[in-house]
Amino acid sequence: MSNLLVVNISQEGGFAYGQFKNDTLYPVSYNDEGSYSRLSVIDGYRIRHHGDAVVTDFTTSVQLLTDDMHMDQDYTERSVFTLQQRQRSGAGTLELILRRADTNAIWKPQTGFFSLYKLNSLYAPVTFKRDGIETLILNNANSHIPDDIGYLTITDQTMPVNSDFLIGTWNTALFHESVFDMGRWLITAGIRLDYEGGIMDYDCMARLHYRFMPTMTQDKELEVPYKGSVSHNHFEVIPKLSILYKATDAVTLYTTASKGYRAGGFNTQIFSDILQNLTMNAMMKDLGVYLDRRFVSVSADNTEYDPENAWNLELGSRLHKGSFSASASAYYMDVRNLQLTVFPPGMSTGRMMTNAGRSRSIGVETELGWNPQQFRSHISWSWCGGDPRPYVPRHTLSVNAGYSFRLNGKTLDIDGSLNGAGPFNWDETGTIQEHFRLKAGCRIALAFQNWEIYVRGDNLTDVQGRNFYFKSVGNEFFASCKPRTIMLGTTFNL
Amino acid sequence: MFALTAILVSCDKSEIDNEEPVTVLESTDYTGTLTVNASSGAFDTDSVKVSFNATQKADSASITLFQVKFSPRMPVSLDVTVPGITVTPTKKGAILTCDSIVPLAMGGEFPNYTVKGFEGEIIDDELIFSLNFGSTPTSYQGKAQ
Repeated sequence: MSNLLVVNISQEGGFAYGQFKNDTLYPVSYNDEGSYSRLSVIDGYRIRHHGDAVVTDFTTSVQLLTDDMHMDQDYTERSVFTLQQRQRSGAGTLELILRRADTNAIWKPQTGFFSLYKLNSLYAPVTFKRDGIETLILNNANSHIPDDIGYLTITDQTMPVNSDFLIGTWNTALFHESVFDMGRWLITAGIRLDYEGGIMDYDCMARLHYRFMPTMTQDKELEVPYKGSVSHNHFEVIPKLSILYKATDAVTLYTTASKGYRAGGFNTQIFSDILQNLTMNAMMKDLGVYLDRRFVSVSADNTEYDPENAWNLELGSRLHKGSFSASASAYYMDVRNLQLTVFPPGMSTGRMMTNAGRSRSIGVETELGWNPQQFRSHISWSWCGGDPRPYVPRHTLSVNAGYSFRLNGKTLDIDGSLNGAGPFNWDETGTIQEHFRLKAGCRIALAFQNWEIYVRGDNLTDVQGRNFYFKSVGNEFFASCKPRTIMLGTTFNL
Repeated sequence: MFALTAILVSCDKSEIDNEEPVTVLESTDYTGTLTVNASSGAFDTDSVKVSFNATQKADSASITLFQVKFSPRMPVSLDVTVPGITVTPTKKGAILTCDSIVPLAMGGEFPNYTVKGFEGEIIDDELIFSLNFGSTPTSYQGKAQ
C-alpha cells in the first residue's frame, strides 16, 4: 500500500504580458488588478495484491482545487474590461489493473478499468469599464445607425456581465495489453475502449442603462440573460502495436504504431464575446431598430470543440554498452481534428479552441549518453517537419553534463546544461515567429543523508526571448522569457 | 382575426328603422405592401406587418408599422407608431384620419418624421392609408392576417 498527498498553495502577482506593436515589445503596463491564488490538494492511494497467478493493482485519487484569478483583460493602461475567474473543482479517479503474476511467461497480459468524474463550478464575471463600453459596444452599435436617425448612449461607468458555469466531465475506459516475450522478439499489442462525456450549464446576465438620442428622455434599464446547457459524448477505440527485436545484447530495434486521442471540451472564455453581441442586438430590438447586418454572434453551440485524434508511426533503435547509450528514431504523425487556439476576428475579447482539418508531421529524435562512474553526460536533438503548427519547434537541443564528488558521506553534484528550441510559429498563419534560442543553466547541490541544499541558475547568459502569445481586442501581446535567475533551495526526505 | 361587430342602438321603433349599424373595430394585424417615395425614387417593401390598435372606446387608435425603411440605402429598419388616429366607424369598417402628429420610434417621440396628411380606411379585411413621414410620402395596403 502507498499513499501520496500533495498540497499546493500559491499566491502570485499579475500577468507579465507586454503589448507587441510595430515589431516592438513594450514593457508590461496595465492599470487594473492582476493576481492569482490557488489551493490544491491531491491524494493518491494505491494498493497491490500479489497473488499466485494474478497481480492486482488498485489506484484511486481525489483532486480538489480552489483558485481565484483577477485580470486586467485588455492589458493596457486604458480601462476597457476586467475579468475575475474563481473556480471550485473536485475530481475522483479509480483504476483497477489485473496482470499475470508469472514474469517469465511468454504471454504477459494485463487488463484494466479506469473511471474519472470531475465537477467544476466556475464563477467568471467580466466587467466592461468606460473605455470598453465606448469602444466595444457604443462605437460598434452607432457605426450601423445613420447620423440623422440618432445615436445610442450608455451612462453606466461599468457594465457587469456575470457568467456562472457548472461543468461536469466523465470518462470510463476498458483496456487490455498483451506482451509476447519470445527470446529476441518482444511484441506488445493493446487496445483501449474509451468513453468520455461532458456537460456545461451556463447562466449569464448582462445589465446596463441605455438611452437613444434624441428620442428618449431618460435612461432605460436592459437585462440580457443567456442561460442554457450543452453536452457531448464520444466513444473511441484506441489500439497500439509495437515490435521490438534484440539484435544483439547491446542493440535493440523497434517499431510502433499507435492511435492517440486528446479529449474535447468547452470554451468558457468566448462567452464575453457572446454576451457582448447579444447585448448590442438586445438593445436594438428593445428600441425597435433592426440592422441589415446583425452583430456576429457565436452561440454556446459553437463553444464546444471536438476531440483530436492522431495516428503515430515510429521506427527506432537503441544501443546500450557499458556506460555508453544511444538512440535514434524517426516518426510520422497524422492528426485529425487538430485542436487550435484561435482569436475571433475584430475587437473580440475572448479566445477559443477550435478544430482544424488535418495535420501531418514527420520527425527525427536522437540521444547520446555517457555515464562512467561519477561523470554523466547527455545530448539529445530532435527535428520536426511537415505541416507547420503553432508552438511546435522545428529543432530542440539539450546538452547536459555533470559530476558527483563523494565527500565523507556527503555528495557534491555539479551540473551544467544548454537547452534550446525553435524556430516556431506563434499563430496559425505563421506571420509571427520565434527564433531558435539556446539557454545555459547550472545546478550545484550538496546532499546529506536526508536533506539537500542547492543553488540553481537558469538562463545564465540572459537570453532575450518570448514564451507566450495571444490577442485581446485586436492588440497583440507577448510574455517575455524569464531573465537570468539564481535560486537557493533545500529539500528534505521524510 | 378581423372582427366586425354590428350593434343596433335603439330607443324606440322609429329610431330602429332609421339607425345605421355601428361597427366596433378590434385590434388587428395586417400584412401588405409599403410604398415609400424617397428622394432617390419610390420603392416598395412587401410583407410589411402593420398593427392596428384600437382604444377601448374604439373612437381612436394607433398604427404601428414594423421594420420599415424610409430609404432603400438606409442600413436600419425601424418600428414606428402613429398614435392618436381618429376612427369614424362605417358600415364596412372605418375612416381613419389624423392631424399633424409626432410618431413614436426608438423609445420616444421622433419629431424628424412628424406625420402630416394622414388618410386611411378599413374596408372589410383591408387596411389602406397614406401619409407623409416628414417630407416622405408613404402609402400602405394590406390584408388582415
